[in-house]
Amino acid sequence: MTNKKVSFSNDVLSIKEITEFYSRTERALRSFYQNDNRYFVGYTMDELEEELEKYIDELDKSCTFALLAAIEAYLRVDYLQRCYVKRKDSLSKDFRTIFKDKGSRASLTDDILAQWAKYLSSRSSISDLRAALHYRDWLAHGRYWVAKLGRNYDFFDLLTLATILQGELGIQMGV
Amino acid sequence: MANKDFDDFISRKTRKTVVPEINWEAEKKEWLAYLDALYNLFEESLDKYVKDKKICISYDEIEITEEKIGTYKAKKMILSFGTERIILKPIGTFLIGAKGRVDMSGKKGSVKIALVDARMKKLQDHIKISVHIDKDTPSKQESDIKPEEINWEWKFISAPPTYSYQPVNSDTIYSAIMELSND
Repeated sequence: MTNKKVSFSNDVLSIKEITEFYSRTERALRSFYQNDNRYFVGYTMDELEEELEKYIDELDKSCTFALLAAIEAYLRVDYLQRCYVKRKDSLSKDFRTIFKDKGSRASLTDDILAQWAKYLSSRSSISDLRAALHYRDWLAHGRYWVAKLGRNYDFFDLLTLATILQGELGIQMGV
Repeated sequence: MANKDFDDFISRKTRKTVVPEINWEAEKKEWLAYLDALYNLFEESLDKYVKDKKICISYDEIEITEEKIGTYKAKKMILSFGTERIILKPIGTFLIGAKGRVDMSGKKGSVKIALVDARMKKLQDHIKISVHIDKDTPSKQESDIKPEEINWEWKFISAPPTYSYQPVNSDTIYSAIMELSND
């Protein structure tokens, strides 16, 4: 099979850019949801706070989705570059074996993360990412089922995971 | 395929790993005790202002659902002064890199307070692997920190990109309240 080289877009957001967007939008929402804002005439304080919390929760889910999508992009670009550049380390060699068969369609979990797990002493970050990807799938498919994820996720929790992954995997994600 | 590869594969897959049984109820109680300890730090730091009736501290109960321990009630702290309201909302105990977290919010934004290993100075300290055997592949290096040896401590997490951890004391509590309030 001929594996066509992927043209990288440079459109991948850095983790820092996503975090900035999250924190600035959160601040903007909090500034807007003030009890002296004429937009909210007739609201009780509880209604004001509930609505604010609802929108911050939606912001959290949107940014968490963007964060997990970006993590996948960084891992896939790293995988492809290791295959294109033909690095001599063991992980790159293992990736090239997968690449011969699957090219750019390698599975993130079954191929790329499975290989990474072989090279890390603590597999907890890889396990955490695998688990978090179920949350991403739930978000991506419109949340129509009751998710059994084993834990709750939010933006900051997964920002911590991105930071750990960047350090452990040595992949620059712009944290 | 060589038999040895298959032998290794089967051995790897069938290797017995001893997973210690976790007492979820005890985990929950421990987390809620740490939460009380955090609220005590706030109460002690604000005691003077409460006695002078300049700040009012109240609590509300919220429900938290975490799959492993189910739905439980936890206290939310509310600081009221003037027209300001600062809320400390517990998030939960099953988190990545932390034993618990409380989000503190006011009119101007929010800050995170995380229950983390006391030795950690910043978010990036969660990375356990520091040595690489070759240029591109991280090494297999066992972490020398055992979970039972961790001394958990509440810390404020500063804004990005530094994410430094600051101890929770009177100075940092006052700074956080001022940062989150309209002035």
